[in-house]
Order: sequence, then structure tokens, then C-alpha cells
Amino acid sequence: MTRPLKRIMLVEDDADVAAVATMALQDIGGFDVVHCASGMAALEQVGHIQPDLIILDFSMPELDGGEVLRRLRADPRTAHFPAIYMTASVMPSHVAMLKELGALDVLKKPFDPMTLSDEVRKAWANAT
Amino acid sequence: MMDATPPRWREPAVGTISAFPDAPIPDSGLPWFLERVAARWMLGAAAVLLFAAPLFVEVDEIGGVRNVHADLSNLTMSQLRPHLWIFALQVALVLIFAALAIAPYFRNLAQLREITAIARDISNRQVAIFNAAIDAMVVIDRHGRVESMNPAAERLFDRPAIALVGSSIDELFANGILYLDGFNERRGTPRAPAIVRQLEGIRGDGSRFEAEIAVSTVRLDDGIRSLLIVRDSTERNRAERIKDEFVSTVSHELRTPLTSIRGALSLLDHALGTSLAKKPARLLQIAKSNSERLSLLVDDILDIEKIGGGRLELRLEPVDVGDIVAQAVEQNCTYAADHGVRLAATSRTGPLTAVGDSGRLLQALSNLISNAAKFSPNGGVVQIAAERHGQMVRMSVSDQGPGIPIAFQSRLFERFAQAGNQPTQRSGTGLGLAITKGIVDLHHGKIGYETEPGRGTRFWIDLPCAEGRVG
Repeated sequence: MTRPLKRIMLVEDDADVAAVATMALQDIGGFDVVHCASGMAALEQVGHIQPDLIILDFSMPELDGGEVLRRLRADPRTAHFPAIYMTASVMPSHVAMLKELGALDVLKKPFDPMTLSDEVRKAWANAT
Repeated sequence: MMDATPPRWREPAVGTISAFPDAPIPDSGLPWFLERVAARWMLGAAAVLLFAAPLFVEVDEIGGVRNVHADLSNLTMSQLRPHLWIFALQVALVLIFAALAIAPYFRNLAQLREITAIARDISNRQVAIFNAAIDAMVVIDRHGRVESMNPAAERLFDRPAIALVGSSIDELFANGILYLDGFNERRGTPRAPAIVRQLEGIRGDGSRFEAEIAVSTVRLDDGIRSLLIVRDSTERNRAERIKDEFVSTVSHELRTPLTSIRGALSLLDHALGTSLAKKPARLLQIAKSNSERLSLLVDDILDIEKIGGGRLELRLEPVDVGDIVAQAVEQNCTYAADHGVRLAATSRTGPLTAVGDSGRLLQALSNLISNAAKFSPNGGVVQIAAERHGQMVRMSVSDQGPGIPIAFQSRLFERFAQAGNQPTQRSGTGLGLAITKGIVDLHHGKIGYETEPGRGTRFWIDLPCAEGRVG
């Protein structure tokens, strides 16, 4: 993971939260953000998007964030994409479980849009 | 005048006293003292003869003396008179002693009857209460066997007492013996008098139910028993779970729109903050601060629900309490400044390490500091200190506020507790201190306070030292 953090794939089912997070990451963080509205959409598009980092919401209908990451890791073509979670549940056991799945870090919801980009950069820097 | 002639013993003129067969009767015609002579059993009690006097008549049963033979022809009237007086005196004494001896017996007998009646009445009442109790009661002996149970217990376990008396407690509860052993180990400790636990109860048909048990020690003359008061808590637990799930779901569902609202307002403020006119800028600020307040309320509700349900997890590790103090002060300095209050932190030089979850300890201390700032007068100073306190590490927060009203002190750490006479600007969720106490309890620490009306309040949190734990 030597390349700079530039392109982020945001997987979030709530359109309003996604809009706020996208604006925060783009306008304040200066990242390129591609939004996927579901876990299935993320699995379909990740190969095409080739993100530097995936930000995954955990609680999503049909395919939750945990299952999305499991499937990403199970496929050799997508196993290498780094991912971090954004979730309302940041209990130590839940965070540990998400990290065991292969997440770089777990960010808490609700997030502060003014500091979200810094938190993402910090997680990225710690992982690299 | 009495005849000085030595007593004449005549065979078999020397008689015997029926109750005292070994007592000799001299033929002197005078009263005589006896060595202690064992008696036969009389009226169910042993007696000892000490004194006797001859009767100068041949009688069979007078005053307990019999078969006494004396030769009246050898005595003059003047010789006979003192013996008659002595005999009369003896009879009187016998009657008096008999009255004195027997009266208490009858009095005691009456008392005994009365006491027995009272005891029987008390016993009947206790049994009636035991039998009428709505809660199931089971008495377990020291070997873990059922000694008795009331009808409510028979109904709860759907089995007659006669089928369970003498059986192991394991017949009634899954792992009942293990539970009772645990209780017995604590028996005699301050926590032992009544311990409430949840166990799985077993009915006669083998079906199970969630049983809430309060156990206490019964000390009887012939040994110790355990009294178990048992309730079927299945329905209540189910209702609690539904309530918890509801609160949890609502809180989580509130978080999502709150995330959007807070985020959108922050971005709007960022984009337009300086260009907005005074009124729109004020409205934006109101929306922002209230969305943050709502967000904190949701966080608090979720935290208190986790604490209440035993689901708050801690990541325990050695933490520098000085760092916690510094972070908490930094986190609250803006809030304190808004209230015209200054925060002053003092910490012992060098590391002061406790065992804890740094995030949760920061939350606990932060709650105390924000409370102190909220209740301090304008221009007041809130002192925050960290120090070693015996085997513990102590963090304390002192304010110069009005003190805690006495009427409120007993509810201070309860959920949604707020002093009723506080002005609205001091409003909060009323959960901060309950959460703080919950966090401290989970750390096996202590929380306390000293307060003085009109002078201020000092809260403190004591945490186990890292050295103590590690060592």
C-alpha cells in the first residue's frame, strides 16, 4: 500500500448519510469518492472502480458490511482492497470482529464531517 | 420435765420410715437428726430426710412416717407434751413446705401451658403465612436437600412437596447445587444475607422456566438452612428484553438521520458560516447545537441501556490517569468557557497508572467535569486532580457550585435523576452520573462525593492501581 490515498469507494445504503459523507470527503478531504448504495452493487463495481480504500457501512439490508468484506476477501481479484468500516456499534468485541474480517479500522457513526477525512487518513497511515 | 434416761432401743421397736427405709428410729421418744438418708422416689422426685421425730401412737400413715412403735406407758404426761408439740410443729412445717413446694409447680404448670399455647399460636401463624405466601418458598438443608416447601412452590414447580422433600436442589434448578455452594462460600460475608440470581427452574414435566431466586440464611438450633424465595421471571425477562430491544432499535434508528442532520449542518456552516447574515447564522447555530444535544442523548440512552443489561464492554489496559485528566480538560474547556468557568488541572508528577478502558474513563471524568462547569457560578474555577489514594488511583473534580440538595442526594446516581430546583439552562439528560457510576462499577472502582451547601461539591473516582493488578 505505497500509493497515496486518492480514490475512495463509499458503500452506504442511506442516501442522506452518503451525500453528507461524500461531500465531506470530497470538499474537505479532497478525495475522489464513488458511492455504492448497496453491498451487492459494491461487489459488482469494485473491480471496475479499483478504489484505494473502501469505506463500508456495516448495517445494510440484504448484504451487510461484514458479508461484503468476507466476499471481497474470498475473491483473489478483490482480496487486496483495503477497507474501513463506519458503524454505530463500536463495542470492543464488535470492533475486534470487524478487524478480524480484515478491516483496517472502524470509524464511529455519527461522524463529524469536519474531521472525517482526517480520521480516514489516520486509519490509512496506521495501516501502511 | 424430760426424762434423762438414755433411749431404750427395743427390737423390733426400732421402726422404719416407709420412704426412708435406711433411717433408724431410736426408742428415746425424742426427736432426732439423721445423716442424709437416701429416699425412695416420691412424687417423681428424689428426697432426702434430715430430721424426724417419733410419734407416740401406733399408726400406719401419718405425715409419711409409719411403723413407729413406742411404749406410751413409760412416759408421763409432762414427758409426752413436748413431743406432741414437736409433732404438731412437724405437721405444720410439712404442710407449709408442701404448700411452698407445690405452689410454684402449679404456677409453672399454668405458665407452661400459657407458653405452649403462645408457641403453638406463633407456629400456626408462621405456617399459615408460609402456606399463604404468593411467592414460592423452598427450605434447603446444609446438604443441599429440600427440607420443606410451601404450596406456592408446589404450584410453581408443578410437583407435590412430598415428592420433593429429601431430594437434591438439582431436582428444582439446573446447576442448583453449584449455585448453593457459591452462596455458602459467601455465607457470613456482608453480601450474603440475601442474594438474587437467575437460574433455570425445572417443572414436574421437565419443562424449564427462568427463575429469579433470592436466597437467605436461616439459623436454627439444629443447624443452618437456606431459604429460597423463587419467582418465575420468564415473562418479566421477556418484557425487559422487548423493552431493551425497542430502546436499542429506536436509538440506532435515530442515529442514522441524526448523522445526516448533524453532517449537513456542519457542512453548511463550513460553506456559508461567515457569509450568512446574523439571523440565519443564529438559526444554523441553534440547529447544530440541538442536533448535537439530541445525538448525545441517544448516545447516553444506548450507554445506560448497555450498562443496565450488562452489555457494556471494556477494553481493560494500564492507562495513565494524568493523560485521562488532560484529555478530559481539553474536551471540556470550550464548554466550561461557555459557562464562564475555568478548568484547573493538577496532577502528581510522574505516571499514575490505573487499569481501565481509557475511552470509558474519559467519558466518566468528562461527565463530572461538564456537570461541575454547569453548576459553577460565572467566574468560578473547577479543580481536576489525579493522585494516589492508598491502593487506588483517585481522580477528583471540585466545583464552587451550590452543593447537592440533601433531598436529592439519595437519587443522585439514579437514571434520569435531576435536582428539581435547577433552572432550565442546567438541563441535561439526567443520565450522566448514572453512566459514570456504571462505568466506575465495571472497573471495580468507587465513586463518591463531598458536598457543602453554598460552598461546592467534590466528586471523586477511585480506580485500582495498575501495579496492584499486575503485581
